[in-house]
Amino acid sequence: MLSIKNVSKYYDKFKAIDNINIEVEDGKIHGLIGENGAGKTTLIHCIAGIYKSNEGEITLDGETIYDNPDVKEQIGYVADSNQYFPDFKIKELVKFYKGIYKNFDEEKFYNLNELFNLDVNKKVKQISKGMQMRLSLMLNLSINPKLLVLDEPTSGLDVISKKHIMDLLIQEVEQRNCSIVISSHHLSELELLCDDISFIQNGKIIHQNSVDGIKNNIIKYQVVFDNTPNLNTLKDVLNVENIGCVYYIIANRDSNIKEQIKALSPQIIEEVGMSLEEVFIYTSIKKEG
Amino acid sequence: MNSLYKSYIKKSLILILISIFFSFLGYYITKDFLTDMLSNLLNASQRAEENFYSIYDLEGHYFNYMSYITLIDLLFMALYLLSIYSYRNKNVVNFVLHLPIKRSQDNLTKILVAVVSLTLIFAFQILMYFALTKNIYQQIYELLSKVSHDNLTLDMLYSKLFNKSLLFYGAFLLIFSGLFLSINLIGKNILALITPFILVLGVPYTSSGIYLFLKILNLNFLVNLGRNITLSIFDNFPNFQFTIIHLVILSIIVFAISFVCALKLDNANINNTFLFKPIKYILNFCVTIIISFSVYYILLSNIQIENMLFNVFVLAFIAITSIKLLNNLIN
Repeated sequence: MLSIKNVSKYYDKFKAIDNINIEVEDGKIHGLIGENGAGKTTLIHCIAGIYKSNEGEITLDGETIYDNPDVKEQIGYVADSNQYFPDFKIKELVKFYKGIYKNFDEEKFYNLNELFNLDVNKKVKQISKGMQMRLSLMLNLSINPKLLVLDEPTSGLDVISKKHIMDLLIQEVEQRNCSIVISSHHLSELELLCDDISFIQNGKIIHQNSVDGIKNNIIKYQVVFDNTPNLNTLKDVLNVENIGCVYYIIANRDSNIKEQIKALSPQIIEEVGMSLEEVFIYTSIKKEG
Repeated sequence: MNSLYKSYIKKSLILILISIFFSFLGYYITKDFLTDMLSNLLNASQRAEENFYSIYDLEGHYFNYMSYITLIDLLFMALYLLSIYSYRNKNVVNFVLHLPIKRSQDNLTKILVAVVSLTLIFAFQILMYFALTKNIYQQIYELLSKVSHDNLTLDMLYSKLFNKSLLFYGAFLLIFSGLFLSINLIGKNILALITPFILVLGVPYTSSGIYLFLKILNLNFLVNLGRNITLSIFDNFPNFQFTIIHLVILSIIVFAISFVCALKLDNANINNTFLFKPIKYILNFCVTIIISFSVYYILLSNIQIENMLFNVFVLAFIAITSIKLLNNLIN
């Protein structure tokens, strides 16, 4: 189990991540969502053992990750852009991984390559960004990690490759009961993939729950009025939008928003579903406000 | 041995091969002096008393060769350091840092591979020189020994050259350890590699500049104090062996400090910050002093104008920079 307890990281005086607490059980996929500069990559670097946190502790099965080769052997890390020596051929990289990770499974790598079809005689610098991402995934899956840390793994990939990767990740978790921490801007993908989600803003976690839990926290009503009343009187509202005479009112589920709307005598009031992306946007707007 | 360490060794082997090529080049560039010397000696053998060469000219030639290869080796070692530390790309640095390798072992390997490569290169360069010049040295020595009154045998000459080589090795090792220290204190960038060179190369100009500066201001007691300190330092170095041992010990100390610094370095700020803030200000101050007094000396010795304008300029430059540094320090 990955355990992140009270972790903070500073760049000089700037606090990039602030008192982060996350627990990812075996066989679970945890998503990190946040705007650019929110602190996702810094957190991922701390989890992968690249940076040492200034405060708190990150452990895998109770063992500290930072500067601990035995634990780091069990962690795969896929960066958001090419991370490999540009002049290495792919087959040289495979050899490099074999020489570093005891668990590296060369056969698994070549099996995965049947799916992604990379020319192993090509140098890293000769392949496209999307191919580099696939290569990184293949190499890191081949070490059979207990924890896989992925920073924007689908950026620069075509739709088919995205689908392949998502399926692979799910299959990996099912077959080996490993854990995954994944950051992405594509919330629709995370919604399909993740068990739990953490929203990060300005280095802090502003929401943490299961995907369903997060979506259930917020409610969206579609409302039609005969004569539009003054909606500013509504309390605990996250957002109000309208298309013509149809109003969309978003609020926390635990607020009494339905009663407040009913008091304004609407013609129609109906609860509508929300995507994770909408939840993220409205939550962020509210927090910024 | 893991793949990362193998990659360091591969890089150092490439470096050794390039250095071998440049050593040959260096030898052939400086060889003309020896062949000219031999032919002049052969032609002048009938008039031995007119012969103006001495055995010490061979030592001078060797010094030139060593200076050339030291400069080339330093350049290659600096490139090697930059390649194993900065990898040209921050993502690649992060990739290396995430690998399951103990940081202390990694840093120790970097130092060991570098020192072993350096030693091998030096040993090769010295042996290559001695092997290639053996015959010509023998001929020159025989011709010179007929007319020379120096009681220097060929063995004694070789022993002197060997000691000189060790001195170069010690000095190179010290500069190299300085590069390691600099790269782990300042950050993994070009500035870190240039700084030791600026500091080392600027010292003669700076000391001459300070000397002239104090002379013009009639601060003779400070000039005498500096002279006494310098003499007392050099009087403590009675022979080559003593100096070499001190250089090696000093290098080991610097390597140890740089090793500790490497472990303390925050990788989040890997490319752009100093490990210890005070180092930044001390270094800025040293570079300011070196540049100002070097420029002062060069201008003064070339233009030969001994007026107070230069002194005012240097003082103003130092004052402004110091205030700037203090201001940074306070903020």
